[in-house]
Amino acid sequence: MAYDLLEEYLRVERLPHVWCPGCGHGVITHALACAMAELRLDPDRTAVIGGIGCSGRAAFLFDMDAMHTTHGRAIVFATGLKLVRPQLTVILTLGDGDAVGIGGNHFIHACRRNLDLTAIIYNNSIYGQTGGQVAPTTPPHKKSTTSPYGNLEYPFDIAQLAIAAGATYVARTTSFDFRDMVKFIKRGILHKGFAVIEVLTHCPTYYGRLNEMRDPYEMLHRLKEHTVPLEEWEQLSAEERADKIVVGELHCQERPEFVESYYALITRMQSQQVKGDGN
Amino acid sequence: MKRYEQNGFFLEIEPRRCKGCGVCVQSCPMNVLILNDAGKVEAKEIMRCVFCGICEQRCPDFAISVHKSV
Ligand SMILES: Cc1ncc(C[n+]2csc(CCOP(=O)(O)OP(=O)(O)O)c2C)c(N)n1
Ligand code: SF4
Ligand code: SF4
Ligand code: SF4
Ligand SMILES: [Mg+2]
Repeated sequence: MAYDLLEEYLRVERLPHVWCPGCGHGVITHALACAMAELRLDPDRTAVIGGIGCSGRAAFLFDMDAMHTTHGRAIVFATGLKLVRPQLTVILTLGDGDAVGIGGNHFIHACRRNLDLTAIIYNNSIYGQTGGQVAPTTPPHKKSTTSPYGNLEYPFDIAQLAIAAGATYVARTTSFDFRDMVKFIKRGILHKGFAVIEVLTHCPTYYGRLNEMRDPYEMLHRLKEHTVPLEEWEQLSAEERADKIVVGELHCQERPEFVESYYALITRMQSQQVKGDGN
Repeated sequence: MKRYEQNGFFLEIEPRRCKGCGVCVQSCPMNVLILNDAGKVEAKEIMRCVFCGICEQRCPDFAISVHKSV
């Protein structure tokens, strides 16, 4: 198992981390570290960028260049970094609020541009860090500190949003499915273009406590029960799909990648200039 | 750090990292693990362990792991 390699990728001296007992964010971070180890990524050529939120804190557990940016703007910092250092593998650790709440606009435009970044979305259906407020991902009727009688809104489906906006690799899984997290993160990193790996995860402290699922083990199993692998999903009727969420590799497409197109343009313009100077 | 060795494998527990959430205890198919009085995980029945790695995959705190002895 790749576990023995983890110390190469993680700042183990920072453990125990700040997340609550049983929090799914630690499990996703473990899967991300395993994916890095299995790909033998060079820590000197890898960077992790987090936003603000419990999820954003994952960035500085990695023993490599990391940025803890502003809420919703991690993609902006990652875009700048990737453009000036195209040789880096740039990975984003985003919360659901961070990615599609305050950062929703940056998110859809990153999908459209197809920059070679890998965004891991720690989707716990709530604003964890600030005390359990309703998020654009909170399912209908679920409680949060700002929807104490149940959420009246309809949530974003992050994976579908990413596909519609033009992301070229989109997968969804849960914090229960450890090997799928590792597999999809690895494929997302290897994919040339904007890759989104949405991980449905558990926040026992807020989402769980407010929705009568305080026990992290029970929350993990609920996630498993509510999700259906793509192969099975295709066989289900509309009624059978209600209340369920499809997981798997949902989308993969080849399309010109922005950073490459950008440098190709620079090279082309420079060669034209050289020719021009000769005249 | 505690090490429980058996049949060419070992289970490693780092009590300093364990937050006592109990997820590994509930997830273990062989009922190997318990939480002790200090709220930390312990491999009480290591004889039953099949080194499946489920506890390692469920732990959010990098506190329990399975390794091959070399
Ligand atoms: C510009 C700005 N607005 C609001 C906040 C307050 N804030 C901090 S984290 C957060 C939401 C976190 O939720 P999410 O992104 O889902 O991450 P989680 O904590 O659930 O992992 C908010 C609203 C902030 N830090 N900056
Ligand atoms: S508040 Fe929720 S998301 Fe944040 S660390 Fe605690 S359990 Fe995890
Ligand atoms: S490796 Fe498997 S059997 Fe052994 S303690 Fe962990 S979950 Fe239980
Ligand atoms: S899952 Fe990890 S943190 Fe939770 S009780 Fe087990 S070893 Fe401790
Ligand atoms: Mg959240």
